[in-house]
Amino acid sequence: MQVEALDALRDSAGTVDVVIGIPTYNNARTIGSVMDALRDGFTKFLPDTRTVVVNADAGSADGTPEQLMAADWDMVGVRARHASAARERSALPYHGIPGRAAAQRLILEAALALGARACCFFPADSGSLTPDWAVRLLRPVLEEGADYVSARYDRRRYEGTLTTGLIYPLVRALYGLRIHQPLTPALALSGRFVARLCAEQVWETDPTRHGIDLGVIALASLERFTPCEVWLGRLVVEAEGRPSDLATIFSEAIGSTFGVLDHTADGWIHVRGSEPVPVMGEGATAEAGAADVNVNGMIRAFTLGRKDLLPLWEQALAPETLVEVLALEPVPGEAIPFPHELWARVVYDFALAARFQTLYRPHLLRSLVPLYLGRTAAYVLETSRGPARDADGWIEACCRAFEQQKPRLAERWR
Amino acid sequence: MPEVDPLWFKDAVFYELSVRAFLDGNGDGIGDLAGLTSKLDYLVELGVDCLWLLPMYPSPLRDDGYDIADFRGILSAYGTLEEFQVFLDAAHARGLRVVTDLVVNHTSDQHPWFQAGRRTPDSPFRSYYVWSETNQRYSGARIIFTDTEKSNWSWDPEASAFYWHRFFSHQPDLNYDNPAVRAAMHDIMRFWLDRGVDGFRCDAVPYLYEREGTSCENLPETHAYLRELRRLIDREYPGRILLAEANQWPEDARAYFGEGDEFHLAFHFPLMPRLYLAVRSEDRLPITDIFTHTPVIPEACQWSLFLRNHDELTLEMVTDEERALMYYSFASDPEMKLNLGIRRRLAPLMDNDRRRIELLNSLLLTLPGTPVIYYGDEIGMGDNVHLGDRNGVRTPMQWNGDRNAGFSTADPARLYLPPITDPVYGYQAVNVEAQRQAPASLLHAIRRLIAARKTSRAFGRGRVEFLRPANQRVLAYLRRYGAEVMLIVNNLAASAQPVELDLRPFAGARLVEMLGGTRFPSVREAPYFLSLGPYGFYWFKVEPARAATEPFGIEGTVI
Repeated sequence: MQVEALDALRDSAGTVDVVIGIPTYNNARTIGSVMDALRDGFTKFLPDTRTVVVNADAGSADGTPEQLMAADWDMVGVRARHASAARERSALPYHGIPGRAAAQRLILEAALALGARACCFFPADSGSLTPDWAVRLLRPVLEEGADYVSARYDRRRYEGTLTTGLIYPLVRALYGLRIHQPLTPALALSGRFVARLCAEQVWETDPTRHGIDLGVIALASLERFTPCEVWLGRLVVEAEGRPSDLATIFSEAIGSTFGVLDHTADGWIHVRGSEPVPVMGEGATAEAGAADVNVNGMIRAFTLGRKDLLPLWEQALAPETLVEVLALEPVPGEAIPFPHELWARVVYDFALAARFQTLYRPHLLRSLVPLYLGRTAAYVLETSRGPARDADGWIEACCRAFEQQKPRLAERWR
Repeated sequence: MPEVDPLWFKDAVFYELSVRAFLDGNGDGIGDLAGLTSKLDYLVELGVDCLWLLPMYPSPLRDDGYDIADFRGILSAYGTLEEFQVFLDAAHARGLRVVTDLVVNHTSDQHPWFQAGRRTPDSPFRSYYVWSETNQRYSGARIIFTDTEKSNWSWDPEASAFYWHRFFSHQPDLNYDNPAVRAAMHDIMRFWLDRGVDGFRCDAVPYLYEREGTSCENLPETHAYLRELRRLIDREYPGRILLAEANQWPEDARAYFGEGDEFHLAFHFPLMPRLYLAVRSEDRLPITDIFTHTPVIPEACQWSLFLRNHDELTLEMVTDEERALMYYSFASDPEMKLNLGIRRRLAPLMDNDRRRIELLNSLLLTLPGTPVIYYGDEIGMGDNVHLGDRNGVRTPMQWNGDRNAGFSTADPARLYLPPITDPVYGYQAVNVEAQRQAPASLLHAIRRLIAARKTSRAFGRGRVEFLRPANQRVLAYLRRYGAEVMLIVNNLAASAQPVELDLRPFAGARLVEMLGGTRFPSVREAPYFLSLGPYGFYWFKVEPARAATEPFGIEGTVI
């Protein structure tokens, strides 16, 4: 969508309360149910809200935008195409939306141009989106003064291990906010936060290629925007076409996470500890069991990595960290003694290696995967026989280790 | 002490060398044990695992040491028993094993046994050899050295009798019907095994016994005695090996493995000329055909493969037509021929074509068997057919461009043989020092191939399965060992070749080129298309789809 078009829309639409942003790419299989749920939710829970739906599409070939606009819902819709790299359209990124940051920017600018009080994002590929999602996300903004509402999802145990084992502890330690799902496709922002984000100059940089999730958290933390979390229930996405190999998912997600560190170092370097964030709603207890997790495969990958990747680890890890990593000796059927504190140092060392470019970045990121798998295997083996709170306790202990080790990162970052 | 893998010889790369030719440590013009010891690090760097030493025993050297005059000593020009021990310990310290040549069939006519026996009819040593009043016995035995010998019998005027010899007349055959000879050979083996040698390459093993009305080759009595030797090894020196030189057709050579109770290894003589024939005729048939006719061998045994060795490239195991083609192709100068073979080294045989040399090494290192590299071939040394007998392929190792190729500081006139000096293969152009410094040199290419071979036991222990693509110029085969699968594709032609391979059993698998680590497209149901440059080859590791991207059960929900 062009700016002129937004201006024209603003003149005709009058005052807008909410902009609903829906980035899409070949989501014809799910977009219908998503729109139905949103329609039902707004009709039932937010009937007086003046809403504009902005669809930013990356060039779907399956008629997704047409289906979206044909939804049986009396609303104003804006159909736009955002820019995306051809490579992302041919090999989808882990989140499924080529040019996701451009889509987010387009939607935010539309919200800004329309003077919306709130802007929310919904995943177009979710089969679990229910009518109450919209009100859960928007009520804290529209009624309670929140600037940034992040979703929390009900997850089975050992789902989201990259988030719980690395991204959440890292982001929490860096920015001091306990946002449990930093890379969420569903979120809501206040109009003033939207204006601030649109003024940011990081949109075109590579780390934000996969989205501005971490940029939002960094800004919320460093400039004291009011955060909040809401429970939404299960998140189930249609993953067809997305990368299925862990190394690709990992390097894309962690690559952008490390990248954001550079842009926000002036702020996070002074943050110590972390604060809880208000949480709305209740989450379900994680189900027990680890039946679907291939722990032996993880241990094999860790062992193989230790054998094959030593030359890379030597360059990425501090000597004392490397010594401790090499001393990790998996015993079949038993837990790997991979301490939280060591894991935190490993992640920080890799973040530093990424900053100082000690290795070709893709190689660096992929070489972290076996360590992550070893650590995840340790997590599963230590907590699988206990109740869900054991797993939660493990994650909390991990987060505290990241916070404790952070001065080491800050010191070496300079 | 770590436990020795009794099948170590299957994974190993052997390196054949002559002490005389490797390095002269004392400046007398003859290579010696001190010189060899000082070059062990080079061999480690090359990546070989086991050294095969040509005979280093006291000898009149009329057959390059295969005429042994004392089985329990070291030729004085090479050093002493103490120096041999130093060498052996130094090799072991570097993880190298050492196999020595042992000539079981005959001795030199200078051996004290023969000298005592010929002089005194009553001497116990008389019956250590095969004597006769007539030269008509065993007429069914062929003459091996047709260029020099007219009969397998020679008259000894001192003994006033004929003595039996299958090789040169100065190499009388031992009489294995005599229990004392059999016992003496046991003791000789113990002598060296006690010092730590890792086994023996046993020379000329088919000829130990003579029986009227037979070819005097491969006799049951011979096999029975060889089993005795094996029992000695297994009982007293487990982990040591016996390697048979039996220049026979595969079905005859097969017998030397027994039921896994004779030799651990035996050379696959018929394969070697067919490697050359296949490249010459740009057709895989000679190779696939000989494997079709190669019998299955016991699990604990292994063929030993080679491209060249210290002898002539023997053509005994080819048809007359194939021999004619080989002579036409590889021995344009009559001087290049010797007996039923061609006395040239690998590089000149390949016209110094680097691509063909590498291709043949690719075959050597990937076909089923334990490869043996002949010293100097790793740098593409040349030969000198004018030196007589097989001396042209036994010239000094070319270490650098200094005097005598860096082999010796002696006056050039004192060298045991002159180094190669021609413009193409001369030591100024072809030497270790220069090739070490050139990353793209043949030496480094061979090192890389050896290193790649070592990444998988499939090469040493796996079974082979030939593919049958329509293009006959391409030789493709699988090597499988357990879950490991390697795919080797060789273009035998001088021109680029396309090939479509039926890899359907591996649909979904990924091919990883082993020498560069490049991932090739995944295998699908459709024929797998490859194009190969002239004499090009690929070594692929076939990575099952599951193994390449083993699911961890968290991928779909990891974020």
